[in-house]
Amino acid sequence: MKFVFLTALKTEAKALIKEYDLKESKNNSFFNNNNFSLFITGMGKEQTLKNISHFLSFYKDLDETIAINIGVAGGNPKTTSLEDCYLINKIKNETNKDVFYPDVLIEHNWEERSLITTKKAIEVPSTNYPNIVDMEASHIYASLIKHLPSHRLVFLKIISDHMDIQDWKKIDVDHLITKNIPAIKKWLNKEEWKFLKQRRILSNDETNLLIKYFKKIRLTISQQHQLIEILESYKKRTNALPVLSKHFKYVPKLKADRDKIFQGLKNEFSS
Amino acid sequence: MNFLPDFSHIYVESQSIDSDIAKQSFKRFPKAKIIEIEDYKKIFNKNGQDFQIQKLSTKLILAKKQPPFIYPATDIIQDSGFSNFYYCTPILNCIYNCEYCFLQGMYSSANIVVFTNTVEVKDAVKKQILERKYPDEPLLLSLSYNTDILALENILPLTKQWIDFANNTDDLFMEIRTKSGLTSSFNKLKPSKKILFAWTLSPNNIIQKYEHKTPLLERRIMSIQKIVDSGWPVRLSFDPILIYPNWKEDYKQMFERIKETISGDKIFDITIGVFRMSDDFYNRIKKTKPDSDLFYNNYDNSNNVKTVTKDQKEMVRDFALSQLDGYCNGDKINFWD
Repeated sequence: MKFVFLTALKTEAKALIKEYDLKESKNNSFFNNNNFSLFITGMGKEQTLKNISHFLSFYKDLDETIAINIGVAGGNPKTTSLEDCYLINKIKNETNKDVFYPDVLIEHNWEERSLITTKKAIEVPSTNYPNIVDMEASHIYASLIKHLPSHRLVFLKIISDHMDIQDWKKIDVDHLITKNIPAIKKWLNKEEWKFLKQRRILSNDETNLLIKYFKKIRLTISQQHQLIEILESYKKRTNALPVLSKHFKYVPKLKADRDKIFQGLKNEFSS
Repeated sequence: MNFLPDFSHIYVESQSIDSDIAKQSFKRFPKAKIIEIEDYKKIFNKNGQDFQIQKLSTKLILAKKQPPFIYPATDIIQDSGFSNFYYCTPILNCIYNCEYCFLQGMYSSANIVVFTNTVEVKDAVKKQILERKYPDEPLLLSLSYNTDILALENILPLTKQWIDFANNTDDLFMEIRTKSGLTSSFNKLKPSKKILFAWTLSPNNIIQKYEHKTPLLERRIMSIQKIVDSGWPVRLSFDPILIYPNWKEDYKQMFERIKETISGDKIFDITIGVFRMSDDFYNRIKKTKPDSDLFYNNYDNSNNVKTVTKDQKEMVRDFALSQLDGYCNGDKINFWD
């Protein structure tokens, strides 16, 4: 399983980069080391949407990735404690009223809270904000849910203030993240994460080989889909793909010849 | 496995939070995280769900049902000769996870929705009884088309409430389909001829391979025995009978065990069926690349229903009829086709 941390600020990223020995890549704001990586999304709606879109343009392992938005956030003094980390089970966008519910499936030791994503930092506690506030979570969820399922989107928020901050520079963000890293690391080491991967029948190598074959005999998209489905069923029944190379030696010149090869494959490998 | 236990989270609509069912649920699961929601559809129908992954830790959703409250039954459900056949959905989804079940194609979520406004639903049933097409016949209401309501009885005792309702409502006959072994709630109830318990039975090899989280055959048989001996009408449902190498051996053993433990004279009737699923649900499930081998066989497509071939269907019918020969009156045996 792969994990990508999404932080709004470089200061939130610092401790994670150090802990997981992440190296900066050629892609802006992206750090990586084997199964762990980190991307800095920036603050607020515009930056988040723009940067997540950039992230999706180069990140290739979405089928087996858990995205974890981690960062500091404001907490209501009645329901949260300073420096504590909370797992988010409900995210509301204050502006457009969208509500999201990440699936919470794996056991954890944090308390859970709901969160409201606001346009601006909240500096006065009120009943309008009963738990946690931030400026990114709902934008991250809304952007990523088109590419990742709900059970692979995780939101962890560490309380930096009780919505009463006068001077943001006084918050030691690095300390807050560092303090919570051992618990996060332990959680991510759980075996259960591997069950959350995208189910696949054909491996990447098998899919790539098939695409190569299909291109060679110029199958139509519809024919490709049909053959993939037939070969997936074949693999499920027999636990392996058949040897296909002999079927793709001849490059047909006419559509009729191609269709004949396709029909032959279909007949041979259907159950 | 350290997945959170089922019902670790209860999502409850604001308008249902003070309902009896919500109170019972909070009491039954005191450690559950309660999350207030505005509209259950926003979580039940949300994007990016995976039915089978959600089965690893199923959540409870409590909501107010909006009309319609009662639906005419589809052709895929066996009506067993009842002309006024309807179903209602007190619960969406099931705590079991049978690989051949259409629910995984019907809903994008595996989470269980329990509707809290039972009075409104029961009023709609009463209204439908008055408006039924064939007034000379009672209305048959299936309670468990989209769930196994009895399997939830030790969590929320809804079946018992529905039985009380049926007993106090004229012209209502109720069918409760189940695979559960939970019958203790009914020990103290007076048996009612208006309630038909329909038990689905399969050989243990099928139960262990395909009917995840359900009780084994012996437990179901024991439950049926108790219920039948108390005087409740019981339907035995061998549906679906699945075809695989040596299937006849497994089913033969099951039929023999049933014949030696449950008196054929006492049962209401028997229904038999083969694997079948609407094209839409089948294709929707297949898109998710399920682990189940059931979705990688070739099926016939007849009237937008994926099912086994006509020959296979006949083979199952002949085999089942030969196994049940002499067990009960042949008129009591119905086959889905």
